[in-house]
Amino acid sequence: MSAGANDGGRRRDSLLLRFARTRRGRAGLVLLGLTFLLAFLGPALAPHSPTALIGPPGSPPGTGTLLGTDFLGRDVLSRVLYGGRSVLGLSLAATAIALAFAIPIGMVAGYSRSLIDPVLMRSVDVILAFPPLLFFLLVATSFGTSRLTLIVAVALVQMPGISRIVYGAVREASVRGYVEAAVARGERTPAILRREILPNILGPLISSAGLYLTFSILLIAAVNFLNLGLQPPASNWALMISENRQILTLNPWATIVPAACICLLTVSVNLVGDAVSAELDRTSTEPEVRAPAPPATEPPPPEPPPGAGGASLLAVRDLRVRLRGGPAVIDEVSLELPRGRALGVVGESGSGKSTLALALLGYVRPGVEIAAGAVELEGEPMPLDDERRARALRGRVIAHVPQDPASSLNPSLRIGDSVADVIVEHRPDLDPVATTVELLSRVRLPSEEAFRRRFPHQLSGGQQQRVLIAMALACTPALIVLDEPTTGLDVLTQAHVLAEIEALHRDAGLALIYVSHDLAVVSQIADEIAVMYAGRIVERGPTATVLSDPQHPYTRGLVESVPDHLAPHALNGIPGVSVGVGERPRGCSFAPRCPLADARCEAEMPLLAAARDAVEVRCFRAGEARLHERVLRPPRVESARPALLSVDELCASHRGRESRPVVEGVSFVIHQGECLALAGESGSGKTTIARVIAGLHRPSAGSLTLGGERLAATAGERPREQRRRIQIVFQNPDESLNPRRLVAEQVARPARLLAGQSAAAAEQRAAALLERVRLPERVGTRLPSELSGGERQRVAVARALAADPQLLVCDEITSALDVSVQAAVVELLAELRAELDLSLLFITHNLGVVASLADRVLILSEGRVCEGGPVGEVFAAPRDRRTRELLAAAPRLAGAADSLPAG
Amino acid sequence: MTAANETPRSARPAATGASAGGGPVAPSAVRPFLIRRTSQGLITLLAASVLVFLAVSVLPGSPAAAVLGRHAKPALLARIDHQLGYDRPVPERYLDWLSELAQGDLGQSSIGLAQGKQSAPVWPLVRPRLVNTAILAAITIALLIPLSLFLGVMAGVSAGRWRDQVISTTALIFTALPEFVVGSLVIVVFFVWLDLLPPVSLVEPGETPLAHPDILVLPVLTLLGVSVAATARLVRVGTIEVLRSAYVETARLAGISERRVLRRYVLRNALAPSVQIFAISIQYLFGGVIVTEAVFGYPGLGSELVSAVSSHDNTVVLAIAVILAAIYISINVIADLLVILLVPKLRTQG
Repeated sequence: MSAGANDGGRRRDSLLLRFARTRRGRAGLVLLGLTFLLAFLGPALAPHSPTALIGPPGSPPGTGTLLGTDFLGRDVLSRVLYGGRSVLGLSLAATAIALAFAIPIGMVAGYSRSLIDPVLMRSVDVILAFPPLLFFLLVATSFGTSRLTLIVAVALVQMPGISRIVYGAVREASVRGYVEAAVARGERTPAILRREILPNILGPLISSAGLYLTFSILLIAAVNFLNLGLQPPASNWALMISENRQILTLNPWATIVPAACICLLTVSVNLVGDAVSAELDRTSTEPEVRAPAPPATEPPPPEPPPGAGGASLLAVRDLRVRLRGGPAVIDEVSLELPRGRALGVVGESGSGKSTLALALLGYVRPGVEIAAGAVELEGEPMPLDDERRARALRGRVIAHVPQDPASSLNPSLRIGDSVADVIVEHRPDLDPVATTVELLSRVRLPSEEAFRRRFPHQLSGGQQQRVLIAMALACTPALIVLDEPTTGLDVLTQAHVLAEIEALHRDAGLALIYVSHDLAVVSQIADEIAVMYAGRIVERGPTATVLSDPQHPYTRGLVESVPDHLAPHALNGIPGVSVGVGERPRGCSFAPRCPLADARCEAEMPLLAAARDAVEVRCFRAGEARLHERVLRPPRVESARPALLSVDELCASHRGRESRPVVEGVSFVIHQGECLALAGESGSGKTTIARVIAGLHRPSAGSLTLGGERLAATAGERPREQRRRIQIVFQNPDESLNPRRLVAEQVARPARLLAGQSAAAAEQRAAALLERVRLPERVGTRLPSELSGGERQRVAVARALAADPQLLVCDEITSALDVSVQAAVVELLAELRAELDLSLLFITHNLGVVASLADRVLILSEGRVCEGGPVGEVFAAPRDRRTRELLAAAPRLAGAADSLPAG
Repeated sequence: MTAANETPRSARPAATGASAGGGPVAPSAVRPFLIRRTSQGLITLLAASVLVFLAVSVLPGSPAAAVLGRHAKPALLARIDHQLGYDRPVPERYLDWLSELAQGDLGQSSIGLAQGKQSAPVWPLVRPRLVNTAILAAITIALLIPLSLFLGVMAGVSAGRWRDQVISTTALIFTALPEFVVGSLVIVVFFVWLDLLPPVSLVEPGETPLAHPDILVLPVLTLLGVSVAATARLVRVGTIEVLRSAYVETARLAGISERRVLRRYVLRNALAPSVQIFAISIQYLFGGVIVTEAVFGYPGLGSELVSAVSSHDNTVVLAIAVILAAIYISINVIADLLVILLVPKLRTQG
């Protein structure tokens, strides 16, 4: 499609421009240009023929000859000018041929899971078992040494390595959501390889093309140097080095200059390649920081009066953290925390809450700096500019518990040693072993030696997080900062860890700062709450007061976004997207999303000011935003509608692990227009069921019937009409769209392929659908990387709707989203469902979302259905033990019931 | 191997006393791996030998033609070809060669026989060359590993600052240079201009290069120039990756001193990927050795291989190719084993 090609061109251009701005990239490009000019235009500049004898052999530079003569008396300068073309030309040709063959081979091997893969990759192993030069010598000498055989030999030597890299990249890409979506809609393999996979592996390949070219140059030069390549009297730089060795003492320049030319060539290719891959690496790992605008607000007074908040445990004053030399990430943050209290910090992703959590320990991530403000702990200032002094306080006075326990423990240290390290560092007076034992039992972990000698990977996620909490407790700090400590954990584990933290706080009087995006979780633990938006605190006060009567419209939006599994109600998400660092508006950061915003809000930043009952709020229209009356969702009256999908005695297992099935004998029916939720902990088999229904996972037993017709096991075997009627949306918004294709193109594809529409009709339909999922029109011409996670999930929903399906399978589609965004997506689904008479299979671990959206629910555990029925009945009177556990673990907004209208 | 000596030093636990540290390696996990990996290696080697044998067999021009010249009588050529067994089918010759190899016999030099010698066994020809190459490679590796670890970790730890800029830029330039260019340039500098070291590495038959250490200096320098640069760059990347990890951040947030963080959190975890990097560098080194030996006329496997290729001495090419492939494959096996021993997650998986 032409749009795709244009797009690719645009991206490459901008990459080229961007890396040309780096110092290395620029140096490389200039050098490379010079070398190419020298190699290809050199012959035109040469004063003599490369083979003409112009003087005595080996005469040094001097009269008439700039670089002297070579071992036969020919002009060195002329031979240098003639000698680049063959080396460079042969290398370019060989590299191009190698890429042209190795890419398809690697792609086919990586994508087909058949016999080709092992056979091909084993033979690659065999070839890689030789030094490349040896392999090259064997090939080159077997076929004689003409230009053509040199090219072929170099290409052959390069191919195995390249195809292995392509193979790995394809293997990685083929499990992404956008590839699976293509498989599910029944695209043919060549189309998937060309449209979905190739554009995504091309970037890294282009950046390593420089390496391959260098390698070709080295091989060709080496073989020429060894006199096994092109035969004299042809001139080339490598040959010159070897033939002029006999006159090294007479005219060293005959060796030095061609050597320098080869250096120039390879170094410049390497510089360019290195700069390109560094640029690719940067753009793929770091979100682009928009042009660093100067901070909009004037810096607050830098020197606060010392000792002002001496009574409290923690005092933060006017803290500002910014991107190095750029815009602020957090600004004007002031906090106070008395001893033994728990403060919850909540906000959407990007609100700066983690940055704040780290800054409290005087720590910032690379690229970020503390620009102003002060942090005081127990009356002592936290050294914000002195890493060594700050480190003496960390772990001893203030401790931190990180977000992702699995990656936060040193994989090569035994967990006992990890805990002991903190003790040894800060409390050399204590016995590390005895203290470790005591700490582990305090967080209710086994403390015997066998357990302490385990490595982190031998622990469950909950155990890992407990070890990290034990490390934080090691030196009995006065304050622990917990940064989303339960976010990566299973619902049940989360409940256990939360209970543990709560016990430490209540029983041991430990002061906490609990940072989370999950208002419900925070409400269970925090005495006070601080709501952050776009780097500033917008509302602060006692938890119960803030949640029952939020003063700031943003807080209100958050509260109304939290689903409640016991009192299901319509969710009111917050429209729009959180503003990024550096693009914050001049006035109130929330104004663009605020229903109450007026001219003043857009012009001025409000200050955090006292509102009522110890609540402070940063809003000109504080208090005007009242909670909506909760619209309770009435249980839907089940009218007897025909079954759409029947699943009968379904069994499935993972490839190669058939002995342990993940789904065992699951049966259920989805009626037309119904929303059925599958809920359960991770590992309960819910995602596998979704994949079986979408035709992405071959079941080991059981049958699927769609509208009376039996469904084939895989999407490829199903007729188009069946593929059209079932559509799937995946969990991870980062992977569910093809990063290299425009949004509108991706949405139009199913309409074209499955609904059989013309290109123009599909394009129109895509535009209509994007509007339908409430995305602005311009989104169509964007790449997925330019969208937020919530927007990407909407695009994925639009893409699924493009096929005009009857059943939409949603696999944890809101679990990676912020609560406010989740609310909006859930509401969107509810609307679409009513309007289009869609059936939904909604897979989630979040019981609140189940209650807000679904008619019936099935609770899964270890691959079996343990309970099922209408949502209201199951949640009100669970019969199965596992359902009761799940319900007990599901977090609920504390005090939520208070705000319910009576009755 | 030096890599093996590195292991205990960096992996030794600090004296926390919390546990004995180190710990016995569960033999259950390592032994089956070793057996599987070794047999895989042997199969690859066998396949590689088939490949080389085929390549050598289709070489245009038999050794007889190479020795006797273009105008030799066909009858004479045929007689010598018959003596050498070149008139038999390739599979049969391969099996013969393989069974001799199994008995430790690398065969007879084709050229030697074609020149009319009664017996010209390859092994006595190749053995001193192998020793010489081993000496050159061992010295280079012994310097390569500590040097590139030191430079790579230093650059990684000070990533983005001037120390890193200097190391990385120098390394980037050196990585791009072919051995023969570096070799020729060091000859210009150390022989032509400074007259300090010999430009060729002459070794008398029956001597080892160790008798004249000065002839080793330039070849070692040449090999190091390229390999240290490439290796240090990769070690730097590995170090930076570990430095960015969540567990290093956790350690810093727990107030662990930077020295301890580097030793117990960064180095330990950067070591396992480094082993793979060293394996690749050492393999690459053997490719570089071929050229470097040719530059300095160093009497090793590489220069022997080049002359055997140009003189069509097929059995010698075959022998050297198989020896090099065996070295290559064993490096892989050893590296995989070291990684298993270094990474707790791998060695404790049942």
